[in-house]
Amino acid sequence: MTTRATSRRAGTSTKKSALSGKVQTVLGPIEPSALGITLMHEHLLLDLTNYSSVPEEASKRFYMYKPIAMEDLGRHAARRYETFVDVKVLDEKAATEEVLRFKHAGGGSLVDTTSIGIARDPLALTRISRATGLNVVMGASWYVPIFHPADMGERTEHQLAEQIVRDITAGVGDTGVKSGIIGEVGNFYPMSDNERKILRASAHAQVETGAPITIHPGFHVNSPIQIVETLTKAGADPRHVVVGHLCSVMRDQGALRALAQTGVFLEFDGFGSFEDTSHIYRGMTDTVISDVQRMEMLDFLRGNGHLEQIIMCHDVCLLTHYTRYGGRGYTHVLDSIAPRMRKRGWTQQQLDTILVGNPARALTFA
Amino acid sequence: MPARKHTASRKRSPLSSKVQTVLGPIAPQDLGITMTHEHLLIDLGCYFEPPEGATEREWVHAPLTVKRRGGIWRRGHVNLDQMRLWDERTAVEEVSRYARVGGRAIVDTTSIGIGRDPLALARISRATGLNIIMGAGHYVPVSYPPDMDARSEESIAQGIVKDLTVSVGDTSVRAGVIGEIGLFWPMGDNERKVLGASAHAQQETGAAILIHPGFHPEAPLEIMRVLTAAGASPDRVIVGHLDYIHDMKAVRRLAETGCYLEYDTFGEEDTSFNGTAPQPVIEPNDDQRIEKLEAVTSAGYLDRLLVANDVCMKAHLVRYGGKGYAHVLENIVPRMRKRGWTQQQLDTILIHNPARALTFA
Repeated sequence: MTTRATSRRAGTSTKKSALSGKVQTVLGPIEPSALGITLMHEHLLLDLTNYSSVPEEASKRFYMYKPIAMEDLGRHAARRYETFVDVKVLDEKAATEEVLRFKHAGGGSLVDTTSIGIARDPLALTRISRATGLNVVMGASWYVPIFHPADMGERTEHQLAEQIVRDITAGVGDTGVKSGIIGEVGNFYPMSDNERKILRASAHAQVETGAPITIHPGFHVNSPIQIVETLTKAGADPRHVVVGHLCSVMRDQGALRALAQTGVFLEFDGFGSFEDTSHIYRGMTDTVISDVQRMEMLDFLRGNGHLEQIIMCHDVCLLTHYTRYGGRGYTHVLDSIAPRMRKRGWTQQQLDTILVGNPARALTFA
Repeated sequence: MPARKHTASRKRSPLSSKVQTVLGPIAPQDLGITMTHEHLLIDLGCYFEPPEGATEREWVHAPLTVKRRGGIWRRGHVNLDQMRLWDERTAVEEVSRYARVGGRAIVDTTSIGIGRDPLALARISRATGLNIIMGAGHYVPVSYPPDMDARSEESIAQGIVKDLTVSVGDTSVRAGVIGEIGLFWPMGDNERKVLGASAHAQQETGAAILIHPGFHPEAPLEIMRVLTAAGASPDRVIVGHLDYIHDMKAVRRLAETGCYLEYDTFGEEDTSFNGTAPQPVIEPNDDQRIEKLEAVTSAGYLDRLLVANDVCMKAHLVRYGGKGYAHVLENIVPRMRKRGWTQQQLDTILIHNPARALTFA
């Protein structure tokens, strides 16, 4: 078990970065207190095409290229990734309009956790940020193996770390736009050598820059703790790591508590977007729980002293998550979940902690 | 009420050992795969809750479009379009999907007060080839006729018996089940009266009673007490919406009465519905529904289980982004097979239990 006491290893103490104490948005560094209500795991634009596969049966192939229609929404939920349409979230104007609703609902900031391989787009993020007035924090590092570049096997840990550091300190490519978080770092379960290498590179980049890390774990109850151990051994501070998708991984309160003991941020990021369980028997390994079950887990964590580690958001990542295509968009937590949590006995102060305070702490450079 | 007990030994009804569809009686073995709790046409406007805020009022009369789909369950009782299935052509198209994946029969549990439409059901049955069984009796108190207080138990019972044995109004279409009898929790005098009348109508006709209980763990058991005290046979009663009873001990006590246990809201997975109600029900998802079926089966009550999708609002329909009448067959049955359910067990739930439940005593 990794504990807070062992989190900082000798020799890894970084020199105080110029970004220390700041949050880095796509438009530059800001004070953490300027963030406001913050969604820690969303995607404004992305391309998840590599998840899609062509079904054998002709009548199913019909839906591969069919534009999203209301009459197909039930089907898309049940047969996620049997489409090349739902997985391509590429329309900047649509993204701007959708996320503006979050701004109008009281939102201040969001983290676009689109990492390399799923169409990270620094300049588009700056345009959306300017158009909406929202603070946008951009990701770095690599998503899951099926999205890795072909030569990932040959790249060294050091090269990977250097690229992450460059994205954070100099900017992505020639855009001048800098990442403010390392991730989402994508993992399958069990982990391969490449994923371990990327995790260690991400840890090194954190030591170098003071940036937070955000994790997409493999869909297995043992994956998060294994990842946190790998990161910590490589020098990362678990208190500066966000472990995402816990609603798709953890149904077991014991495992959740063990993970909480490491000090990481515990991210429940499927609110509103992933309530439909009907795809799960098709070979998918993630568990899907309802928003009710998510709130029960948050109640459990609050009751066990882990309030200051809780993060909640939607992980909007498919077209059908957009309100214009029948989804609940970027405002569901504010519109629907926060009122329900108040009814469950959550105080405004507690809600502020998980919507404002925790994200600000998570995003502030060490 | 006990005075009626002696009449329980009624003469054998001509419907005995038949199932009565809207097109006439059929042999139980001709039913095939049956969803025992659906609505082809319905008007749930009785649940309308007028909002105060102007932008919420804008939702009241708005048609359900794809852009409103994500917000519709939060406004399940605000948007009138969502609460009304009254387009017969849409109903035919939607329920045809169910027929195409192997469905053969449907119980339309639309009872009095929410738009029961005997002739439309007969037309839909002819158009689709599906066996359709129509309901009788009264839905929840907010849908009662204004003079419900003044009506006697006896007159209500007579109305139900007439629907089952003669015809609804002058349509010549007959009901095949008593229900869904709609109840709140706690129950008022009128609800107890309707339950008593349903029990008497069952004694008279041999029809099954189908219950929409209040969403409280104690509600189903109390309903069974009222029904049996009035002379109903517990093994001729279907208790619906058990998906919402999360206390499995209560379900087990209910099973011991001998009633049918209906898990009928498969496909309802958006938990925003009722989320802001004063006493929100805890919405289960399909995963939890299947787990409940497994718990009931392990307890030895497989031959009492019934399943359905309870399509009753527009957002349930496929064309409005829902899963429709075919969801149990398309998505739930394969998933249950993967979890180890045998074809024989599935046939028990989908074919044999409904046939037994719907056959007149």
